[in-house]
Amino acid sequence: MLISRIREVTALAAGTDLSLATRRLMDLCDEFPAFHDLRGAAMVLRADYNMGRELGAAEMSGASGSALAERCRQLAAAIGKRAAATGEVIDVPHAEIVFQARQLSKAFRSGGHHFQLGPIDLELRTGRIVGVVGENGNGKTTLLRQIAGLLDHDSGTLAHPHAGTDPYRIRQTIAWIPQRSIRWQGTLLQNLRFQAAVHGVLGDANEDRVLYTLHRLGLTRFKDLTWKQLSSGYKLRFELAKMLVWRPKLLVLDEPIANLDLQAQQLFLQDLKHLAASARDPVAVILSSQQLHEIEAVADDIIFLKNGKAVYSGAADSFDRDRTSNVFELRGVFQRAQLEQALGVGAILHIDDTGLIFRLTTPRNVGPQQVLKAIANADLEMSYFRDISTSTRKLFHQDP
Amino acid sequence: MNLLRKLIPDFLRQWDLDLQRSHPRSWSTRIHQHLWFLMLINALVFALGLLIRISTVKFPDPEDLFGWIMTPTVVYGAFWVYKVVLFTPERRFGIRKPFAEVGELGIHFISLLLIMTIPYNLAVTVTYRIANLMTDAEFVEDVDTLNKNAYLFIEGDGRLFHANNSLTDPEASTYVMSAHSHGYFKDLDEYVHRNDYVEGRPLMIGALYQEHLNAYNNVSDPNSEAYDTLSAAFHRSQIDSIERTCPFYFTAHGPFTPSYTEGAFLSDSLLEVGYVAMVRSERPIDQEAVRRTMELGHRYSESVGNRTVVEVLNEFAERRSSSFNLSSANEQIRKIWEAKTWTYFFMRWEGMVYVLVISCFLLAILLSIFKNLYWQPLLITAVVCLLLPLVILIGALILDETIRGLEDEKVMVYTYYSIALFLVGWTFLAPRTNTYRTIRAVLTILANLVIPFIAIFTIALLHFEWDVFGEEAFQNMMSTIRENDPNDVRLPALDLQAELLRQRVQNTLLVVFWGGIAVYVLALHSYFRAAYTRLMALPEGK
Repeated sequence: MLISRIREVTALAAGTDLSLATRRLMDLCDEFPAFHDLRGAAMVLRADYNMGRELGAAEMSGASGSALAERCRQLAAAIGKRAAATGEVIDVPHAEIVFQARQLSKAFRSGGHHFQLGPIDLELRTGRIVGVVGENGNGKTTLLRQIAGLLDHDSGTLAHPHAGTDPYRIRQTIAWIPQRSIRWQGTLLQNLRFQAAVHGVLGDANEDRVLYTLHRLGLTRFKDLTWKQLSSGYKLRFELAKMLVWRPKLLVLDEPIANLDLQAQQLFLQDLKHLAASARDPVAVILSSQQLHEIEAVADDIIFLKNGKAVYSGAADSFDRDRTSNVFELRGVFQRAQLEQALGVGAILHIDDTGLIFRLTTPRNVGPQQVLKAIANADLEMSYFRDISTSTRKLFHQDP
Repeated sequence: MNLLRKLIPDFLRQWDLDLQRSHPRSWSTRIHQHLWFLMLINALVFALGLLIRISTVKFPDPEDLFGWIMTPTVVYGAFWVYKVVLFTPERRFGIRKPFAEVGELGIHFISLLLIMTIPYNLAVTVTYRIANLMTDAEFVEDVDTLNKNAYLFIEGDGRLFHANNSLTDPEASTYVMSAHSHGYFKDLDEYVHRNDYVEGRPLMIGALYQEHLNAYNNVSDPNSEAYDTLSAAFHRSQIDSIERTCPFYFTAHGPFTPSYTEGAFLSDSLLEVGYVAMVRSERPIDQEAVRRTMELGHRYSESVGNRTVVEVLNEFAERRSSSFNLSSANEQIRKIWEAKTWTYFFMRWEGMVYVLVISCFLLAILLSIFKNLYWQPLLITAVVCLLLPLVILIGALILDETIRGLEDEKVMVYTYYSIALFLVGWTFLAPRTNTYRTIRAVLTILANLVIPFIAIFTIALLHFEWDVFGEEAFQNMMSTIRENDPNDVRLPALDLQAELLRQRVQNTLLVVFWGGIAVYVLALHSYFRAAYTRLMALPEGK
């Protein structure tokens, strides 16, 4: 694991993504005790990067950016040499089960409306991210609130093997980030210090952890701001920072990226992934979202809820592995007939025109390459193409 | 807020930082900032107390000042509470230490008490300045001088006069009265023995004068059934005769002596002795003493008026009402003595202990609860606490009306006690609930508020309703003995025993009261805090 992490950092330092390079360098120095003495250097690098960002993007693309990249490479090289010299073997942390649910269900009756969530079986392990997807009103938030210990269940069993049965102790290991950030008081810095201190990170360690987190998440310049002075994106990053300083076992996020722009989404999901897979304090993460592709990109497991039932629950990369057909979404300057003509009758099982896109179903042996090639050969102008054969997005279009 | 930050010195910032990093629970109480800002506020309040204009003729009432400054004090208190509840370890599911929670309660309690230094500071500063406008000896001398010469400055002419309302109402009756501060006596001896009247003897002149006056009022009234012009003329002639032939003598001694507390002033008896000796000696009135008295009048009042000594003496010689309004100094003298003896409601120790300490203690509990729980149940609890007494009162009155033999007071007491017992029972159930519901939180809060006082409530109920100490029975027995024979030889010993029993009961009640609070602080506070944290951590049941 260590070797791959060093390779990753070295590659990043050699490339142009200094943001990710500096963050991963910090993670590496923080997570592995052998490099703890380099934490300061990594933090300074990150601080310089953040400062450069504050001065403007042009600053980072000029000489200062090159110098920073060089310093990243030097630090990565130093870490690599140290690892090779010490020959330290770092095991991949054991994925610990932090939450188990068996036949979990909850029913709501309001007026003539009846909704039942579950029964659902679920297991959350440290180091893994579970994405909960589904249309609105299908029970995503209810499920997450039950997992976070905020909502009671009607039947089934819940277990938190690491925390026993004391509800306060259980809640001490769970971080809940709701869709709308709950208003907090005071400055960001005050909150981080307090959050760390009440979870036992005291004295100099407290300051160290807070500063590290601020730099790591690029929040340094916002440290003296209050809740109402922060944008939605930074409020979310603050929630992540609040969690980073005390490192819970389970992180539950309800629609975290709903209000973020594309870049902020990427940044947040990257950090989430790194956080979950931390070598020192791995976290089990479960999050819900409507941004299916982004979630599928980051999640290890997916739960698709439809009418309160888990129509799919399993590894994200093994969804519909035994399918008999492929499904593609495409859009361009062409008509349905032109598409049918380009692909030929044998390559099409079904075309669904939603008005915005075509949803094309082909036999399993007709893959994305064939489809793209056929469209190119027919000289059709295409603006959007996505292979959703192994995406739960397909489930959105299935009848209940 | 930026201005407030500027008022924080560097050492306090560093202290704040250290506390925040290493002692988050202590930091969240904001005791360090509270002490600092209280010091600043108290310095300002003290300066205000020094700047307020104070003289013998005019100064603000410290009790009014105390009430006035309570408004900014409450505003500061609210601001402090707001700052205190912002950060709570339990709301963030932080590390809990039961002993630290007791310490936190103690800090909240002391902080609330310290807030009260603001009104006390102002009121005490002003009181101290008023009390030290002159030495006690000087003040006593002034009062004695005023008392000795008060007979020269009597308001009202001491003769019969008409209180005629006919100026505004022609039909109104005419009513006559005498000046209340004068008395008519045959001679000085009758004056001296004015209180020694024995039944059956002829009335003294003063009493006779009053009787004629009352009779005249009765028969001269055209609306009265006794209206009789002849009788009226008779009584009027008697009144005139007394006024013409009997000199009046001064009757009110020591009018300037503050009446409610002891001091080294000349008593009424000594003043009378001096007055009688002066009249007897027939010496001319000491003009220097009159001048000195008038000076004192100016010293204590702005509205005595400008008169010369000769004018005052002439008015007295002619038995006319004094136009030098010396009595206007009376109120100031009373207020200065009040300040010298600290006779204010805010200085009564019973008030300080039982009102201030208990209310601060309850507020500290509420604050601890608020830091530990959602605000909704606390708000509901406040509403319940406001409405419940009303509901119980109405219920008791209805039962009192509809069911014979039921007393509304008893219904109320037993209803309250039943509710208290139910809440005590809930105390044991609270930690066993598996889901959070607002009603359960409300019950837990109510139980928390009742628990420190349930012991004293029980013992008081047993004492007042069931006479468990036998005090009432003992008193009844003594009453029976006293009724049978008021001179029974056993009574003195029984009185002593009754007093001992009363003291024992009082001591028992005190011990139970403070014991209940001590048990709560040392043991049950942590128990309740644990119950709240558990409730907060439980999933909501819907």
